[in-house]
Amino acid sequence: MAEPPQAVAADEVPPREYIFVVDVSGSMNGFPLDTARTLMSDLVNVLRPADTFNVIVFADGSEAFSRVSVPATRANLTRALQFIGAKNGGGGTRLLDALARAVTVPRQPAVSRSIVLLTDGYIEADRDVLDFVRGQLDAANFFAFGIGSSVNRYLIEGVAHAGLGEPFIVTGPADAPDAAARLRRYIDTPVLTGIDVKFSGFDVYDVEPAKVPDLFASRPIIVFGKWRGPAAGSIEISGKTGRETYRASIAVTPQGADARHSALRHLWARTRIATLDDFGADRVDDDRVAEITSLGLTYGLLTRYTSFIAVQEIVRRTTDGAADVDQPLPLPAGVSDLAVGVTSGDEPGLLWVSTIALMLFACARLLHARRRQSGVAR
Amino acid sequence: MKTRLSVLTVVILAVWGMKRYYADAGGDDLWWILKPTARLAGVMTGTAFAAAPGEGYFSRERLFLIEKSCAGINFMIAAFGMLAFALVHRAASVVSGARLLAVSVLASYVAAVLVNAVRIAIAIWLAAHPVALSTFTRAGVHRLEGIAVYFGGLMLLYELAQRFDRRAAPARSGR
Repeated sequence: MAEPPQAVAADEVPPREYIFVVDVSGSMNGFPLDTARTLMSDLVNVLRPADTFNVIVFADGSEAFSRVSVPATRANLTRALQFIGAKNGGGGTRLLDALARAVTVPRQPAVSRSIVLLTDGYIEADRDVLDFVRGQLDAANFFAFGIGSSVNRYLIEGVAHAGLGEPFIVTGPADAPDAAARLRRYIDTPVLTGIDVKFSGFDVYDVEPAKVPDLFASRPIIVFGKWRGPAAGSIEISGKTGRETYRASIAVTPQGADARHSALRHLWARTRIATLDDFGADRVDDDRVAEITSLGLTYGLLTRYTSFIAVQEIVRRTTDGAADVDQPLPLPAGVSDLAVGVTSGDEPGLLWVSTIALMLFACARLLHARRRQSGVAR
Repeated sequence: MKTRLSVLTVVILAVWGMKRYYADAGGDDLWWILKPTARLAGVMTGTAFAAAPGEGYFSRERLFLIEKSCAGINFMIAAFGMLAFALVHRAASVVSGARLLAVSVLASYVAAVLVNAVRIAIAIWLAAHPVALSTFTRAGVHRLEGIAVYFGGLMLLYELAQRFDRRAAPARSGR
């Protein structure tokens, strides 16, 4: 576990870059977008001129405020807020494309990049987003802020989990300013960036997470792993602060073992199961199932494939033919009926209809002219 | 000739104005065409449509929404233009020109409600009974249905306009 210092001097904070990925689909109108603007303003106010920010809006597609991130000045903030205000998207929300665009924004070396997602989470392909975030941990820090009357908690908590942070969720206008201020405090002080963890002199395996994000004053980094063979060697940690390159070495010795830390093995197993289960959903195979099952049985943990179930062997229902019953499923509070697979009977576009009318008109004129010609000929 | 040119100019400006209005209008602004269309489509299909503020008219039972993009304004614009062009030769004076424009607007409105309600009724049926055509997606079938119904509707309207024109012409010449 890498714990940040209790107090961080301003010059210890590395240069910061914030990329706000803002959902501008119809469901974000009103207090969700207002809260997003407040959060951006609060954050930009505490940044230094050397720090930068950018905005990527998404709905049916995605668009960047600037090709490269711009200095955190009041003028740039005003322009960015105007940029958001001019975007009002439609239905589907293409978050994955927007995140991919955010990651590919050109970056300066030794800058702590944070991508802040602001959405109500009504998107497609949630699990793909979580896989993407997990795969980019060494490229950026991901933070999720869910805003709306019925936030998709699976997505917001999933992004927080994948990004090794905490979820922030606001469901009503009254809570919005406090939550925005808490998120701002949570993400405004990176302490160590470009972190590298090396294990020397002993055989380490199943290390979680495989990629390490930046250390923040409010967010410790916990790396779990197991080793085989003798406990000898060292763990080398390096990274960059605002002042210098940081290096630390932790000696691994048998004397370092402490019986009071026996719960760590279960914590490791839980983390390992969560990682196997939550990410790479499209690669579920026999090996993965076997590993999760083995971890569940070995450590006595509940998993997707191992459950604590009492099986009642007396059959109570002796007659055949179970009846299917449709159960009503209410929509989340504040969500319109139209959110459920509605068909709409769009009419053909004006181009089509005008073409039909013109063709009819032309054909009728042609027929009329021919009739008149044949009448004259007779 | 001058009157006809003036009428055609007004027609072109009216088409442009309707298009602009349609682009900026919300679902609630189009109640004057959505409401009768939804009522008629509901009668044809036995479906109850209720007003969904800001959206249009919604059938909870069929999960079908008659919204801005289904309003039939495109049909109305095309029908208005077609009628005005087909009958412009009748505009001999300012009064007859104004009458022609008024009749074209009224006829295109009524035709839009009727034809669009038929199109929506068929679309509701198609949504409940998907037609499997290997070369068309569901959206493609819907578009094809719309084009076919609109084609038939415009053809019928044109034929009716021609009959009216033929019947009116001898009466006028006999006077």
